[in-house]
Amino acid sequence: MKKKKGIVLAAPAILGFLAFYFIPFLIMGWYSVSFGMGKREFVGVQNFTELFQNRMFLLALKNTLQFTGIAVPVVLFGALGLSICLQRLARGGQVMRLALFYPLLIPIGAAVLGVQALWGQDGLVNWFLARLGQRGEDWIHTSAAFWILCILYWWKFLGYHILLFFVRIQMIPRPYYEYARLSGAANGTIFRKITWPLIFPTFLFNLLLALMNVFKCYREAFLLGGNYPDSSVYLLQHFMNNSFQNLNYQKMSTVSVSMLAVILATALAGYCAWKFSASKRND
Amino acid sequence: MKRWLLLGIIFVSVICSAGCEERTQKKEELTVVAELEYEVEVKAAAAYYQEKNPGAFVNVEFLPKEETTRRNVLQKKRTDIMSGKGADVFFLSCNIEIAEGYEEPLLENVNKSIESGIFTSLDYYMDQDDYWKSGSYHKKLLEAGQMKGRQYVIPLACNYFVYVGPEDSVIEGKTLWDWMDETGTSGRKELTEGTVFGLGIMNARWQQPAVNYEEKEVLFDPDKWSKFMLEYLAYWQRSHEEEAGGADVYAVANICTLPDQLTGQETKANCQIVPDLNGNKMAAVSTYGAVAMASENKEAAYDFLMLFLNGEIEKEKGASYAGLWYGGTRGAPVEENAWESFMDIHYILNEATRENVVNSFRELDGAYFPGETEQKLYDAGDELILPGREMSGEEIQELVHKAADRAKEQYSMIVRE
Amino acid sequence: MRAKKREYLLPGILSAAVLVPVFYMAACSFAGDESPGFSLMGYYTVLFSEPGYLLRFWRSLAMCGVIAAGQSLTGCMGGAAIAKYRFAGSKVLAICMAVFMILPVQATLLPNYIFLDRLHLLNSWWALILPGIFAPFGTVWMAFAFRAIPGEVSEAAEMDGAGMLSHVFHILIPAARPAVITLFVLSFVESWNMVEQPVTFLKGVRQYPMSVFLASIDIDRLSVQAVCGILCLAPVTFLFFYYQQELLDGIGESIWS
Repeated sequence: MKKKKGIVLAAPAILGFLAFYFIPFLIMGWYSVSFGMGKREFVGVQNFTELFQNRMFLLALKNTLQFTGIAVPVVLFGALGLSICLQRLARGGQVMRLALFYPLLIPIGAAVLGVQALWGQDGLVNWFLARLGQRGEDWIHTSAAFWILCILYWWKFLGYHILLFFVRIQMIPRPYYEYARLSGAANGTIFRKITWPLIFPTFLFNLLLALMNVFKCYREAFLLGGNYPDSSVYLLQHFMNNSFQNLNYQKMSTVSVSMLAVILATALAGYCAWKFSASKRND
Repeated sequence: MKRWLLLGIIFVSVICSAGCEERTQKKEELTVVAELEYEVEVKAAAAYYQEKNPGAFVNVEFLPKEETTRRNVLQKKRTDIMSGKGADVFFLSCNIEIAEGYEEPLLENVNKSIESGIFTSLDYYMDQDDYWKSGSYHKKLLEAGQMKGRQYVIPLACNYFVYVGPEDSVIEGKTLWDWMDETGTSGRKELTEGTVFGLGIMNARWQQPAVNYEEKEVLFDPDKWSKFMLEYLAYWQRSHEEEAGGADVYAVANICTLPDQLTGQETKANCQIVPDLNGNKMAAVSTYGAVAMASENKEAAYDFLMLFLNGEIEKEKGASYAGLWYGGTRGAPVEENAWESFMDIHYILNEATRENVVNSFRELDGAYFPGETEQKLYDAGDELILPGREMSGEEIQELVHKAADRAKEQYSMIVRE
Repeated sequence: MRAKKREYLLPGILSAAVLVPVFYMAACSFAGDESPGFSLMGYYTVLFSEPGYLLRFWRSLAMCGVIAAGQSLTGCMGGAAIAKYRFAGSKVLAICMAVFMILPVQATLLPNYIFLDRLHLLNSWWALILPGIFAPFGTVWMAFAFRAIPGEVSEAAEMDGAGMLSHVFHILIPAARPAVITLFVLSFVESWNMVEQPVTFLKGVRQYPMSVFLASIDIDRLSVQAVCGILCLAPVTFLFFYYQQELLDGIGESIWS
């Protein structure tokens, strides 16, 4: 009886998801195994083999993985730490959380202007370097662009993750902490034994979101370096956008399907690993 | 609970029924996507086509010029085209490298767009069309729009740099190196003065074709380009020192914008294409046409496109009909027969000079589609030739090499994508 | 437990640093278009002389509000179903939805376009609202949040004879109120920043919401853009302070007594 009721409750969400997300994905899947406008013909995995031999795709993949590997952990652990700090600050914390959240709302144009004002040819950083006797460059068009993009990502999404962590931390019942304090536990122990295990699922969830946000930096990536930036900052976004501008939807959909497959595989692997370690812990 | 179930059933059935609807489209409806600057010519052709084929309807959509509007319209147009509707005929332009900067085109790179399969191959229609057997189209230019031997895109207008001077001043050189030597030899100060600037601003064409898309290799050599640029800059400095009044008699300029002083001349003038560093004589395509793969009226689309080449409109309506196509606002014709009218409109040249101009057209080896990389090269060159500030020799060296390397990198990225 | 003064230092500096572009934008809003220097021209244009901006602002606000409310609603219902009612395939569904969240909007833009075209929803704001309401983020997030609520609470409700909907609305949502409000804020922000979808699904500049106008740098209208940008910060600021208490609260006291 319970199960049947469950489905009905979830009906709107399921139907909406199917209609606006899953079915479009199936359409995209069809595009990735076919070729030709108008009359599409099934070509099997040809698009995929071509894609994985494409040197620019592999470069973009490598750069994106590199970017993700550096930007994501920093933003997650930074957000976790900061949200714990802010938790203790009550009123002040609220204001700061709002401030840290603002970057998400700032129009992209302003953000890009800001970046150019800092790191452009006539920017603040070069002004400092001139003072120190060094010569400045147009940093945005060098391999330093990678770090600029990282900083942009951190700036934009720190507040986002802080909000999510904060909410979850707030939901940990107070009595847990009070009891631990009464028993004389130190801060570090409290974190390891109480906060972290309870936060862990949220941490994984935030990991997923952080991955999602890597692709939210779509417009910023071009407004900064153009369609063909320095090779250190050529990401999957650029590859996909250039395919879009050359109306090559096969490539785009092949990339998306591959991406999804990789993430699904990783998620399943992680899930199995987690189940495995959980069952081991139970023994 | 029953309410939810009912709602769910309705929801699903709405979606399914929506998918079953038929597409109602007029039998003969052509959608043309064109750049705004060709408004007169395209509308004229559309009117003629509709007149010739009663029941047909040609719907022309122009791409706006204003930057932000254009970007949004292009995004939507690209989605339309990829979803299979959107256009039957493409009538688009390639950027000419000029100081005004780069305008975002609908197709970022024409050759890559051919690879994505959005164009239909026109060989079938071209084989049946007599125009290609007896017409005066410069066949070598067709190669630019071919892939794996099949024709997808047809260049409709081109532009290239020429040297113009008095009849007796013929430049013998085969490559651009030779030309720089010849025009720079002492004793020909007027020649130097008239030609030196033109040689510099065509720096995006110093090595064309820059890319071989079929073999996926980059032909652009940054070292060659840098070496030539540095020598050119020295040459430019030297030639600057004296005024000899040569600009009235000699020039190196784009064929579409020949300087005024050369038109209206009484004596016969010489006209030669300026070769590139490797001796190639390439034209940049300014306008091109194609038919979409998703089109349901491919033959009609092809016929419409050919109206701009086969001179049918002119034959029926007379030469004074407004909106005949001779290369548009910034291109020269791609077929010989149209050159007479082109020269009538653009220049006042005497008979003998005309012959030389058409001869220069015949010398073309091929064509290429210019893109953003060419504009970037031009911008870099512009900054070096007419710097806004004082630059040390070292700085100039660095800028030159950086520009060349970046162009090479961009070309290789494009070709490998 | 009162925090010591020095604990404000690091977050404080960080917040100030992060706000620099906001200050920069505020400075731009006071810049004159023609002549440099202080000028209220931007404010005057937006607030008085060209009502189009304010109109677009309020319409965007309304649309984003609808999307946020809708997503919160479907998210709560779907999340509760996944977390509390283990129906067949709920685990698979959850994983599916979670993975789909990652897809960038550009990837599914074309199929969405084709699909919405079939449904004849293009060129209207429904093309933006409906996908927004059913975004998987809401369901996945609420499923997460509801999992944290102890099972005894739900069982107690069931024993008291509470129906499904009242279970969700009267027990689960109040217990996870911070999470619900966070979802509302985040989906609001998400829809507020939409650029690709309006450009592709709508026809003509008149229909675009505010976000598209602010997505590009228009040198001529820099001060107007800056004023609009500042204006756009207002709704979220309001939400933060209005729901301050709820966001600070943890699980309601009533659960534990």
